[in-house]
Amino acid sequence: MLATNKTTIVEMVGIWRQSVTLCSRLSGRSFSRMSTKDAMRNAYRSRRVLFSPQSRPFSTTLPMFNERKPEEKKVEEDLDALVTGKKRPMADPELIEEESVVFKVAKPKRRNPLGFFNVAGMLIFAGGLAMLINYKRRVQRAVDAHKEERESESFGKALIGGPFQLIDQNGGIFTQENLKGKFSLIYFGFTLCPDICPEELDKMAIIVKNLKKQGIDVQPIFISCDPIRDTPPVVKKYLEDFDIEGIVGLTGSYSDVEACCKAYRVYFSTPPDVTAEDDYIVDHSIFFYLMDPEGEFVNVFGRRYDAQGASEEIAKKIKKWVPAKDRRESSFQKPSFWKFWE
Amino acid sequence: MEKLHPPEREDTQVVTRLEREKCWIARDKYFACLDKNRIMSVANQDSSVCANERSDVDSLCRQSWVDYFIQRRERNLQIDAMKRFRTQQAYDELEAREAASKEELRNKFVKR
Repeated sequence: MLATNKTTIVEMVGIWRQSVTLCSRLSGRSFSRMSTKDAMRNAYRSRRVLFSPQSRPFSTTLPMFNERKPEEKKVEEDLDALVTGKKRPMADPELIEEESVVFKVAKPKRRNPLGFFNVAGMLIFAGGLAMLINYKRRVQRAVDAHKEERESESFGKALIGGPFQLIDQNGGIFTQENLKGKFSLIYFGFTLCPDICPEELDKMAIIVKNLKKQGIDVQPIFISCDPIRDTPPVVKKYLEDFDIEGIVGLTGSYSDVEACCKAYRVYFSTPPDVTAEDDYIVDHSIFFYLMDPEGEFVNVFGRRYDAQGASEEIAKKIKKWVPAKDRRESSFQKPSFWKFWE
Repeated sequence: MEKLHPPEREDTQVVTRLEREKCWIARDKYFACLDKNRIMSVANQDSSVCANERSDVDSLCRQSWVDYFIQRRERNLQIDAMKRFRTQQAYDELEAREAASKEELRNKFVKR
């Protein structure tokens, strides 16, 4: 007679219990021994009474709650059908709502796992935070680079370089004025060097070639630290072994070479009283000096630079170079907050 | 009084690229022989060891170069040995310190 699946049994039990309490409350008597049918009928009826439109909030203001009249007949029919078991209780939305309130069938409400927060907001926040951190980092980097540039600008100009007067491999005079008009790469060595000078001169050849490929013209200069043995023809013959385009080999008297080495802060150990026939090794510092078209010092490259590294560095310096009159104190470029890729 | 070079001197003392490379090859052979015999300091040894290679070097290279090469090799070997020694020392020290701290820790928890 009654539908026997689980939910309806629960419903029925609930309805039974509800009906008992309701009827007892309404009539003031206890009905513990009511029949199920009567109890159910009472329950539905009383519920209808209790939750009728009139007892609902805003029922007088909202007319839609008042439109019950055509249904009332149907309700009675349905009630009978339910009670007798001909009809299963339909899922009346209003009833279900009420039942969930009355029966407290605890279906856990599905909660948003994030709770108060939402994904889009969190993403925007994280993105903003990342941009802020990146900006701070970029500003710090820019400040450090600017500081370094300022420091390097003030040093180096006066310390290295100066006037000198030497003779090139063809016998012509070469002074610091001949440095003007183009960039120069100067190497100090001597022709009877066992292995270091040849290695450095080969490096110089590669550097000059690399820079030529980039369209940069650099004048390679070899200055001898051994004036006693390195005469212009000796220097000329020596340099023929190296495939360096446009190289200038300089030498001169002992005092002139000494003065030049002093101006360029080059250490060399040739004693003044040796003769050309003596066999000795000259101890000297191993550097390339880059000079600009105004004859001023730009940068020095030691042995830790290989040919590729040195040519890259030189190209960088040359591209960045600005003549003295156009030179302004480098201003600090504040990085843009939005262009985070720079 | 400063010494001026004679302006008409010929290029008699120039060492060409080829000569240089021959010298280097002989030098490398000589040094390989020395390494095989585990000789660091040539001055203290008798000249019978690696004599052939040495004579090649002496004939192909200038004397100042030979002395320079040998001195440089010895200096570099000494530096390497010192580096190795120092790293080994540091490592031993570290190990000793670690062992000491472990002992200390162990002694703390030993039931007396």
